[in-house]
Amino acid sequence: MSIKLVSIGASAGGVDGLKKVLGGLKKPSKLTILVVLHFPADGPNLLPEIYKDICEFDIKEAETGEKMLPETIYIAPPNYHLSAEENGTISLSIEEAVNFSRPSIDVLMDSVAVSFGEQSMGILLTGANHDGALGMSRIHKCGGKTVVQDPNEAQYPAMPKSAIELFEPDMILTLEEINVLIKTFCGVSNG
Amino acid sequence: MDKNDSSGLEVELLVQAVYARFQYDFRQYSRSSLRRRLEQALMRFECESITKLQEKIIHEPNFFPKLIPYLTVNTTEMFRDPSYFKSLREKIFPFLQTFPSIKIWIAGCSTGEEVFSMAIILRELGMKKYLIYATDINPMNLEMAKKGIFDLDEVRKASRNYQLSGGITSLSDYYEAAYDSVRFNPNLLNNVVFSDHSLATDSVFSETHFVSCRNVLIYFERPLQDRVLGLFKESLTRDGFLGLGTKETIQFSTVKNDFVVVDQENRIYQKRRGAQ
Repeated sequence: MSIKLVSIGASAGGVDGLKKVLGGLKKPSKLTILVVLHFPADGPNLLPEIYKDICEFDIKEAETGEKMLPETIYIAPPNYHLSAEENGTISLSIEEAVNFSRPSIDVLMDSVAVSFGEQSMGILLTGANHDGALGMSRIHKCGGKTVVQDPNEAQYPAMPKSAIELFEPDMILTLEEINVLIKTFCGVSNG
Repeated sequence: MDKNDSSGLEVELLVQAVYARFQYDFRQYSRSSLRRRLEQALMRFECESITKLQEKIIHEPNFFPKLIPYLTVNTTEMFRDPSYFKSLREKIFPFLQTFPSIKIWIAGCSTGEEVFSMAIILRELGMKKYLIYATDINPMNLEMAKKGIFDLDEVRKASRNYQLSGGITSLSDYYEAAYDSVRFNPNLLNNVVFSDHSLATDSVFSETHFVSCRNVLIYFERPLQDRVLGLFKESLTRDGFLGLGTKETIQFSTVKNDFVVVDQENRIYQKRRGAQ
């Protein structure tokens, strides 16, 4: 079953981690990528600016109700939960923080698991809290692929570790290896 | 087959059952959010599955009202997004003063925090000739809003937002504290009428000059958003204003050409002359 939707979560140390993971992705591709990065609630979302030219995919802040398109990276706005719906749209929410986080990686991956099942992938990077482990375990239960950054490489290992302690992720990889993996799932057949 | 695979289907069946039985229409509420809250309800009501919740809905006559708080999002705070309230204070309300009397509709008022926020601003502006219609789908929310009792910690946190929105005194001037709660001055509600109303099924009930509906549409699928925005357009008088939540927009809706953007950052729109 091919992967259509990739969800990535990161916290402390994540800005650089994400850069390495998303760098150089090429079009055309059938892949859509959703990102939750924990950051201070009151700040503007600078990530689409920061990541502007790192790859060929379009990068934007997620807007509620919009249809998820391939070759696009959607980033959760500060202070809103981001979810994927079964009908292929994005939804935002201001429900309570989960794991003291809003946006929460658990919320994202939980929705991705239920709506995309075997066509989904979850990737958990560096972070100092435990947000994401439970959500990613649901991706695992629903037949999707689960990838965790190697805690030995992660700037803050707590988040990847908590996932490894909760269930057995399919792969534990360095940032560079994660980048290569995404590129593998990116590609439409060559030629 | 993993049981999680069926949760989408179970939510679908539950909302159909609720509509068929009680005519509350949650069929176009955003599903992931609904599912999350129903899964929280599983723990609260000790059910193993969403299907079991549905069974209780159908067979236990007094159960459904207890479930309603889980079907809607009630997370709210006073003066949320203070720049919105600042804009009301500095731009919108002064303009509205040119009308002989003002009708405001707070749609989806939840437990009343936004109602009190607006009543405070209107009082500080010395505006008296107004009526606020505060509506919500959940009658229990309305009961709580009428009491004006909130958690002390939450209100203390809102104090900063009140200041940022241009508050001229101190938020504590408007309430009395006792133990862990505060009670807002009941005369702030002198010009407020509470009523239950469902944006999914009910119609316009009054002509209004300003509709504030914040972080409600965000939980609706697009066709329902269109229905609701259509209701607001119908309710608003000429030159009336519409205020939405920070990440909401009329941009993708069928009414987008019926409004002009007055304040893009705070999502405040004005009904275009000639619309409808």
